[in-house]
This record gives sequence, C-alpha cells and structure tokens, in this order.
Amino acid sequence: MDRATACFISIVFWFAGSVVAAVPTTQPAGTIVGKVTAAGDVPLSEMVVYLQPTDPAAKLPPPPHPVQVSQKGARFAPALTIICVGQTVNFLNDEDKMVEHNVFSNAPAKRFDLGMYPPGQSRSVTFDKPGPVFLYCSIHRYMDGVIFVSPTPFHSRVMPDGTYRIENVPAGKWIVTTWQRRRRFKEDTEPVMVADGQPATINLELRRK
Amino acid sequence: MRAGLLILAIGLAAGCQSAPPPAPGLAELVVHVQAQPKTGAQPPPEKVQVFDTPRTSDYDAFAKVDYSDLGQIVVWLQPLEPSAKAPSPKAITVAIDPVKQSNGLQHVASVGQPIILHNASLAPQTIYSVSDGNDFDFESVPPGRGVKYTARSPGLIEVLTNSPAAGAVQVYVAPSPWVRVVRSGESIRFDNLPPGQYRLVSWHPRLPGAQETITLPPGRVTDASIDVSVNSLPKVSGAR
Repeated sequence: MDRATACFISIVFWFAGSVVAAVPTTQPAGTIVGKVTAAGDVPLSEMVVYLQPTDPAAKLPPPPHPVQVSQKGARFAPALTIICVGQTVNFLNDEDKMVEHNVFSNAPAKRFDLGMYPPGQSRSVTFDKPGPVFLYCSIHRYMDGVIFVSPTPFHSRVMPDGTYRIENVPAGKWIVTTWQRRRRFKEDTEPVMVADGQPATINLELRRK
Repeated sequence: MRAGLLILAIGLAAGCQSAPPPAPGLAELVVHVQAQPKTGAQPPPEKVQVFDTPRTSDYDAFAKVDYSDLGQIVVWLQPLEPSAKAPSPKAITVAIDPVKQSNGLQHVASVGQPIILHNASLAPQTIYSVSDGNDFDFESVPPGRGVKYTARSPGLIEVLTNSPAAGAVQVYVAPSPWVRVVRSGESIRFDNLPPGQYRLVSWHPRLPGAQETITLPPGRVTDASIDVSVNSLPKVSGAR
C-alpha cells in the first residue's frame, strides 16, 4: 500500500470515527457522582473509580481513538492513564535528544516488550484484559507508570478532594468499584441503579478491613 | 601487620577449599543468579552503587539500570515429588519503622512460615496488610513489641502502618521453604535437600522471572543458573 492510499484510508477512518462520536446517543443515560474518603491523609488522586457491568455478556465497545503516552524526559506522561478493554495506547518516544527507550510490562493483564526505539518513533499496544499494567523502561531506572484498563468505558480519575464523576452511563444496574495505584486499603464496591437523565450519588469509604 | 597477613592467609585457604559434599543420601544445589539487560542495550559506562535515590532529570549513568548489581531477585526451589519432605521454617523477624525509608524487597518467607512484625519505632503502630491472600490487621502495637503473622498465600506482602507517608515494607512469600533474596551476580546454596526433581524459579518486582526443572542426585553438588530478563517478554510487532 502506498503512502497516499494509507493516508486516504486513515482520513476515512478518522472521519467515520468522528461521525460516530458526534451522533447523540438515543440510549437512556445518567451520571454517577460521589466522593471517595479514606482514613488519614492519603493521596486520593492516584485512585480510579470505574463501573463493572452486572451482565458479564454485555457488549461495551471501547472508544475508537487511541490514547498517547509520552516518554519525554525519561518519564511516562501521564503517569497514570485510564483506558478501557479493547482500547489502544500509542507509546511515543518524543525525546528531543537522541535517547532510546524500551517500554515493557510483566503485568498479568498485559505482558509486552516494545523493544528499543529512537525519538520520533511510536509503538502501539491494544489492551484486551482489565487490570493494572505497570510500565517500566529497561534502560532508565526511574521510569515507571501505569495504565489502568477498566472493564467498561465508564471510569473516572479521583480528584485530589476525593470527588469523581462518570457521565453518559447507560441506564441500568452497574457496580461502582475503586482501584488504588498505591494500595493502602481494601477496594470498595457498591451497586448502583442508573436512571435516564438522573444523577446517582455513590460515596465510597475505603477501609483497612 | 603480621596478624593481618595471617588472617588473610587463613581466609584465602578457607576460600580455596572446595565445599564439603552433602550429607549421605542428600543433595545440594548451587545457583548462579543473573539479571540480563535488554539484548543490544549499551551498559552504563560506570557502576552505580545506589539502588534507589530521588529522581534525576538527566539520562546519565546514574539514571540507568545497573543489571550487574540489580537487587530484589527472589529464587526458590519447589519439590515436584510429594515425598520430598520440606523442613519446617523458623520464624523471621521484620522490623517496622515508618520513619525509615523502605529499600524495596528485603525479606522472603514461605507459606506457613511465621513472620514476627517488630515495631522498631518509638510510637505505637497499627501494622496491617491488604495484600491479596495475606491481609491482616494488628492495632496499636507498642514500641519494641512484635506480633506474629503466619504467611497464608504465595506472593508479595506489603506491610503498612497508619503513617501514610511511609512506604510499605515488602516480604515475598514463596510456596516452598527453600527460598532466598539475592543480587545479580551472586551465587546461593541450598543444602540438605532430598534428592529428586525440583522446579527452580526466579521472581523480580519488575522483570520477568524464569523457571526450569532440575534433577538433584544424592551425594552430589549440582550447579545451575537462572536469570531475570526483559528479553523473555512477548515482542510487539516492530520491536527489536
């Protein structure tokens, strides 16, 4: 395939994706808001709240667009990336000097080795299992990051004040679940019923036991 | 001076002597442990002695992983024959002090082994874990006192206190009592082993481990080697 054909196909796919994203959903949907609290002065901003389906057979297509993780300055940015099952991440070596990186993970949710590649190049990984995927570089000891792969496209990073908000949740039963990057408490789960156009409030309290 | 030379000579003589053979009917294993860098990667131009320090903003040797001295490698030997009787492990003591910085994985234990969690700080501590399969909670342990936890499941235990600024003290629990934590380039010895087939396994917090099946004959010292390496991971298309 020549470059012009590839470019044309990319534009068609990009346009198709934009149209799908722009079409307003006709499915009844609501919003889930709440606050996560925990004993002591713990960094709540490194936590995720996500929804699990009550029907394991539910088909929830991932967002069509890939997410990008930078490696500039020998740091993964963002340090915590939240995606959903089936979504792709582009790992771009965007260093402005000649520094190679070698991104890898040995996580049960995704084991991979991107090999060493120079600035200006990118490698892509599609994540097909839920769970945390801790990222490292085999060359640089301080490079560590994490991709949290949510089982559904409905997730939120917790704000420093503990609040979170998940929008456009299809009406029905869901399970609200927490995940902590640096786990200090047991994860919490709460069932929720989402009604069309209605906000549901689910506050979560993390405990040691 | 003369005494120093004598000590050196004795030390050298002891080092030159070959290790005694294993006890009659038993086996011994010497394992050479290596952390392998990425194939084709340039090694750091100088040796880096410190395991972990505050982040540097450049890319010099200090910022690079030194595979020749990498720590936190766990190696264990798991018997494959049910008749192999493993020794009952003695309790290990782990000091818990939220004021002291954690240096990563320093302790290993086995399933069923008692772990004494000793409050080495000057204040009462709640000592707890929410690690899968090894959760526990001891409230208000007085300074200088210890509490006993018996490891239930294999895997990493992160021991926490009620001081959120403190890092976790890590203990890796292996399924077998023949377990050690070592640095790259070191050799370890497992002695008084029942002869037979074993699985030799390595584990590291970041790098993939390895495993292989070995047979240990009675009355002999067997040599083996094992590594941890990024090279065993599945390559993504385009990777080299």
